[in-house]
Amino acid sequence: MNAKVIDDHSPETANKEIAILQITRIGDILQTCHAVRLLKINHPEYNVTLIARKQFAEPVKFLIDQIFDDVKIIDFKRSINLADGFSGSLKNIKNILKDINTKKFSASINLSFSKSSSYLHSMINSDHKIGPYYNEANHKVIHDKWSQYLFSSVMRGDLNPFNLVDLFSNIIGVKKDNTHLTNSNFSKEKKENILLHPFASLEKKYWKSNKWSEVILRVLEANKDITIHIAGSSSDKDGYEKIVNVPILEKYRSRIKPLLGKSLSELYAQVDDTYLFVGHDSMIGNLLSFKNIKTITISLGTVRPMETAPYSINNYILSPKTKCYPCFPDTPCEFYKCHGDIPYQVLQEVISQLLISNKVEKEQFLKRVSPFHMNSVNISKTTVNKVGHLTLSNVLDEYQTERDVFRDFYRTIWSYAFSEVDVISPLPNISEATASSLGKQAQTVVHLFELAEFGKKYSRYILEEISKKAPEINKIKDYSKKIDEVDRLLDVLVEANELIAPIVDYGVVAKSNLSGNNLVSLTESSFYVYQEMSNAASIIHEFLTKLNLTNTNQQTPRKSL
Amino acid sequence: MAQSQEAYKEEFKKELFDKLTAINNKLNRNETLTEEDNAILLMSSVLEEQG
Repeated sequence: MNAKVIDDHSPETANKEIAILQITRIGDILQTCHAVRLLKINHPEYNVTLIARKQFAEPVKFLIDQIFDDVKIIDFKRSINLADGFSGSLKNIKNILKDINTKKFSASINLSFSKSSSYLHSMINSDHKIGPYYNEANHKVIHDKWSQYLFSSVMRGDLNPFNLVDLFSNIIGVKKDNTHLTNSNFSKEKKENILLHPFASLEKKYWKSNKWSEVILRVLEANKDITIHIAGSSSDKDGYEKIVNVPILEKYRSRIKPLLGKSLSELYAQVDDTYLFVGHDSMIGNLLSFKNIKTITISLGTVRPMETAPYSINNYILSPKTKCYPCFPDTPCEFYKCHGDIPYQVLQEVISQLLISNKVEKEQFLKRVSPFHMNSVNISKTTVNKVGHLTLSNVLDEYQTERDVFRDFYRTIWSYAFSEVDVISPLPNISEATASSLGKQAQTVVHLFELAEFGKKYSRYILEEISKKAPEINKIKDYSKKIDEVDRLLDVLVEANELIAPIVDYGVVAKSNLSGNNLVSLTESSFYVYQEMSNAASIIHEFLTKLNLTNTNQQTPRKSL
Repeated sequence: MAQSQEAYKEEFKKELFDKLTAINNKLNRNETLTEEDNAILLMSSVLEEQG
């Protein structure tokens, strides 16, 4: 009679309904699938619904169905049309929302950062909103820090140290303790087939056909048992012909098989563990990472390999050391220097080694490839750190650049600041020249710290003025002006040294999303944003000091005012 | 046919602009937006993104 009654409906055991909005492209949906796959390992009891657009979700629906409990597919093109007119279209939109809101969600998470996704998010019936949405006053709001960080950093420069899957997981709140990728080799050591995808969405992102013809020739010449399958959409037929119909490939044509116009599900079903995938950064690499197919990605143009590398370990990425790489979609470029900086000989050698032993060995590489071909290209391998973040390690153990070092700093800073997760990075391997230029950064970091401290100081003055019995509005206005001045100086500082841009960019987004609905709470939030910036600057300075890169004579950051 | 298509388009545009103006006026008066207002803003942003 004294048996404990178990309440199956207690908040801890109740099934939680979570909505994930991802209305951008197929590659983003695939990366979202990875993050939710990790979430479901930790929380199989959560019911997760994906909200995605028809043209992007349908090609990968076979995968979505394996991961999500439910999917709501939105067809904006069909819903908003002239035949239905304005009122009919509005009715269609309302019906979409009615369908989504048949469920009451505990939380809705917007992982796409478009204006339309933010409006859609604002209309989802959920207790908690994570990621951007519009509030009742039509202001875009991002409350959580990881989403603020994502908004401030991705596709801005190349200083973001996180893969998008890890960023999405951090936004969702996936604990990586139980979801590490394992270190076992996933595919058979000996490969018999290569799946090649030599196409991409932008011309900046893919090699000219003659380079691919050379790679195919060399690989088929050197590996008698290999068949190359070339994947692409129906519209890539001309590109395929240009690559294959060249005299040098005449006698190898029977070993080159087209896989054009296949649906993604057909392609996915066809590849198995005897395959090696080689291609430019594309959603196909991300798709095949669900099968742990070994992958080589050739990153060019706008591609940030850290953000979009296929999310599985022991894959390889070739990226150029070109100064202007990575660029932006609207950056004009006639020359494509980054394309020339990855010689086909390097790719050929990476393929050859992976076909034989499933890994790339530095010694073999140095023996077989001329240094002349290697000095403009990075070869990285995907690994995983102790907290489960995908990282890129340099296969040839070359010196790290200033940017590599700062990326490592940022991984530690953001992980601790937003999730209180300790990321331990090994000491960087740097040349004397890099050490010298990193040493010069110390002064910029001191300036950043001081400006952030001024921001804190004037935020505090405002709070002190408000707390007086008779606050003077003019004083508050003067302090606000000082804060504006601090922000302008931060912009100037970033222009002089973009290595600190992630901190300032994050501060801008965080300040435009201050929490609170009155002057006191808004000023308090502003104080905390400057505090975060000041902490970040302090930590970088401490790292540089640990590396003996700060001049002890120069001014060191003050602990506090 | 092409002409009537154009006319439909103009009518659609006009209705959308009128509604957006009304929403803007509401915001200027510090009024909160309704679900219908948000649906219109969503529709407008989708059309904007589609160019």
